[in-house]
Amino acid sequence: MIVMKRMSVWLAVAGVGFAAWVLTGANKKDSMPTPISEPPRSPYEQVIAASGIIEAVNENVRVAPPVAGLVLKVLVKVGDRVTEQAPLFQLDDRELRAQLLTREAAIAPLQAQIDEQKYKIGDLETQLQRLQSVHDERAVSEDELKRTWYALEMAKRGDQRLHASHKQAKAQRDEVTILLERLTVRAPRNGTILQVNIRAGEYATLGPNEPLMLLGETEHLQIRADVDEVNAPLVPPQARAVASIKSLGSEKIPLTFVRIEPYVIPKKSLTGENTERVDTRVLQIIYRFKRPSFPVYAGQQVDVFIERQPSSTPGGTPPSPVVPMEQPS
Amino acid sequence: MNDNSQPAAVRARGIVKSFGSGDTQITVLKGIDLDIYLGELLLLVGESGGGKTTLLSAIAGILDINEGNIDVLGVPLSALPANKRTRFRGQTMGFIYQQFNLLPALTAAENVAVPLLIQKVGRAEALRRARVMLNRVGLADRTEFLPKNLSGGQQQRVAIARALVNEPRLLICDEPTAALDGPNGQKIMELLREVGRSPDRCVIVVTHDSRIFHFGDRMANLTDGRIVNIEQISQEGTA
Amino acid sequence: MIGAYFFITMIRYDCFSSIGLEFSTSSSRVGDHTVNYVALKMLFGDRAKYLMLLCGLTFAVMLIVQQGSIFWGLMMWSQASITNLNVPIWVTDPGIAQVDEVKPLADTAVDRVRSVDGVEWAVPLYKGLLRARLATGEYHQITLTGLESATLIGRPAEVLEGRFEDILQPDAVVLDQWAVERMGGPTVVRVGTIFELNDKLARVVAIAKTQKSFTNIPVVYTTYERAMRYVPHERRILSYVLAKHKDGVPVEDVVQRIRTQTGLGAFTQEDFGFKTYMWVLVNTGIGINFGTTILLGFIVGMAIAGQTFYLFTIENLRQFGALKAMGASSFTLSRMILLQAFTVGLTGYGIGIGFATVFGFLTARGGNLPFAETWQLLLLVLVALLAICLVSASVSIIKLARLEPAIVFR
Repeated sequence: MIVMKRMSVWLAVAGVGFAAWVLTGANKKDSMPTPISEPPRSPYEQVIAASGIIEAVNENVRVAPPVAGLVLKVLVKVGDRVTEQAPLFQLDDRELRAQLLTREAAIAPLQAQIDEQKYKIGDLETQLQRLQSVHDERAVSEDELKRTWYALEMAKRGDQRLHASHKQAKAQRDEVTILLERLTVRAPRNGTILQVNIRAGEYATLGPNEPLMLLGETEHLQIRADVDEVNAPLVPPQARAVASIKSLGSEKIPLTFVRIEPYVIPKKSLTGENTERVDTRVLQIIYRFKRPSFPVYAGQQVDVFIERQPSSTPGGTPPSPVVPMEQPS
Repeated sequence: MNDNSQPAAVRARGIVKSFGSGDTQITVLKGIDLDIYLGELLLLVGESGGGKTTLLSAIAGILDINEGNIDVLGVPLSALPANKRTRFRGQTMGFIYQQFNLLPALTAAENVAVPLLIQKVGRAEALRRARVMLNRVGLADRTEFLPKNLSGGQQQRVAIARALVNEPRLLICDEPTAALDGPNGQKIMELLREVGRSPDRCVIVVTHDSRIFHFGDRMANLTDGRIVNIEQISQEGTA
Repeated sequence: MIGAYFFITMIRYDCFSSIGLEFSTSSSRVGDHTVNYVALKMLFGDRAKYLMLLCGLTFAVMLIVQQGSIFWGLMMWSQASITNLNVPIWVTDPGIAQVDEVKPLADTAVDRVRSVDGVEWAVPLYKGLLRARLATGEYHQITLTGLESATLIGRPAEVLEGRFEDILQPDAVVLDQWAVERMGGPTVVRVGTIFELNDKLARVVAIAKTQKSFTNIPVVYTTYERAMRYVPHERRILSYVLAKHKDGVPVEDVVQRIRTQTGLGAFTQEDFGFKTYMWVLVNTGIGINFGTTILLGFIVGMAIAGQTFYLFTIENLRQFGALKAMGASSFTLSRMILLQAFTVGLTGYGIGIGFATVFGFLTARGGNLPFAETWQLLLLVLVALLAICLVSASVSIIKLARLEPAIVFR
């Protein structure tokens, strides 16, 4: 009897124990697996989040040739830093060079003529002086004197004409030189060669197709942040903000406010589907930032957190949000 | 010993008890007057259905009566509230039943100890006193037996031990020999006289077994709800 | 709890005293306990009756716990797509009814959720149905789940084969083990298998372990960005924004704030799960079918329990009558009956949940059978069982109070 009752009781205790063991085991919720990288977290108490894209401060330059022509030589490669006026590529200049030869050749005969004319003038001047020094009217006729003087004046005019022709010939030579100079395409400003789409031997055409070269400014990047129009009234200008690039959520890049684009535009889907119909409009805010320790590139997506002052309620009358930072109002 | 000048242990006057109501009402006790004295063994005899068990229940305070009053040891039983009556019963009365009514799951000693346990006596003490009492009824070697392993006579002895373990002033026996054969019945009655009867206790035995009539001191005949006569029994035959 | 008190009392007298660990206490306390001892001896003494009683109660408890657990398991399956991602906050269209019914949001919703106070992070999630075509030419409907690529938040905790991080490789996808099972087993689909998703290439790089879902549609994980390539053109693709509240901020507050500030529907994981299985309950036949089965099981179980215990006390009524005659008060007798009821009730309960748990443990370990035992269910059964014991004990106590005293003299 004792065993009997003990057994049932122990069985019950064992049953409860087993159930408790299984329950604590089974209902223990697995904690969430840690994210492979930190998700973007805001460093501020109250924020407005936005998605942004990194872009160059200045618009990129699509380098075009002055004239259509064969490319002889490409003087830079992708990634080269160039200074203003640095030669980029060279178009075919042989035709102009040939012209230059002719033009230069045309100068020498003119010079010779000028010299010849100089002697001619000298001779006439001497003759005229001799005639004027003879006082015997019988020995020198008035007529002869006059003729000599006219001849001298004619020779002087001829010299002037020759000088003009000489100058013209030189100008024609200089023109060709300048045209030649033009066939070497130079950088319009400092920057980095982002793209090179032309090789030596190719024919550079004028037109709206892809640029022969893309010159950009990657040293100074900026961030263009898209804020949903719903949140637009909440964005305080001049607010502090940070950005983090995707997959490096823990690394915060401090941002400096530059300006708010005054026009709310349809959101461009960053996935590049241009067939999508737009249903959201976004307010764009431009921020400047210092290059962080890790590399960032133009075109990268970032998550932006803009600090929102807890006191400033959307019901208040905020100052006009479109206040460029660096302009005195 | 049974002289009438002694104060009655049980004093019943004008007891009326009926069951049911209206047309179906049956009056079982129709005015009973009865005195029972300490030191005596009263036999309550009569036909079946004559009201013996009802009277016993009334004296034991298990059953409420319609009229009359019962004093037990000077306490007006019918006037006591139910819970006090139950406690009073536990302290002053012992019961012996026809069917023994032992708890089958308990050993002989444990069964005997039950009234003590109800009186909140500690278990060890209760069991010790139970064994002493079992020794007195001659079952010293059967204390750890379960009722089903004891004979009918032995079971009734256990029941007697249980009824007496509390040292009750009133021992109430309902047909104690009815479930036993002749010799065993005689033995039980002998035991009741020897162990149960004492100068400060009265024993009431309900029976219709004429073979044990001579064990009583007095015999009250209850017929049709009335006590028809009370007879003094001479004890020379057994003395 | 009364039951626990009785249980402890029982253990003391039943087990400790039998191995000689008697407690010495004040006499009144001992007196209390000794009557309990009598009651327990009465209960355990009749072995056949006790066994019958115990079997009835055990069976009843087992029936209820098992039915309830299977039902709950099914409900868990219905919200598997939520629990598998295991993220605290779900943001979606406010009109959403359940997790598998996707209502896409505008892209900027992620930033709008991030702008809400108390949100620690928020990431996009794509979820939608697609057709996968295997090299064998077979087609399978699958659920494409696009996780944000930088963090892979929402990925399963356990990976059976391969590395989940390889999902970042080109064209890589991860399957769950049910997808492997549904698509033809490990001989057809394994790490390295190539198949087509909407005519685009997909390469399996890992197999993850997830909770089986109700619909059992295979789950294919990919990155959010890649999911956009796989899915047909739609105006909006963002299905959900998954978010987490900042530590120390109550999740309910954050959810409420997201709702008011963005106008989107935000739910905690639990609420969304609740919403989903309520939807399943109301809109599918499972609720009514299973509900009646469980109710029936509950009623039958409780009826068995009540009936057996009632019979037990009725059979012991004569013994209780004798005790009453011996001076045991109605209060004492009530306590004895209650002790018996709770003792046998708790014993039956313990054995019952033990058996049910063993059953669940053995059959549901593979995850193929819905079986989710919860402490709430066990508590409910315990309360119900104790209530039933209390009711049948009360019936017995009332019967005892009205006990015809003559019964002891017969």
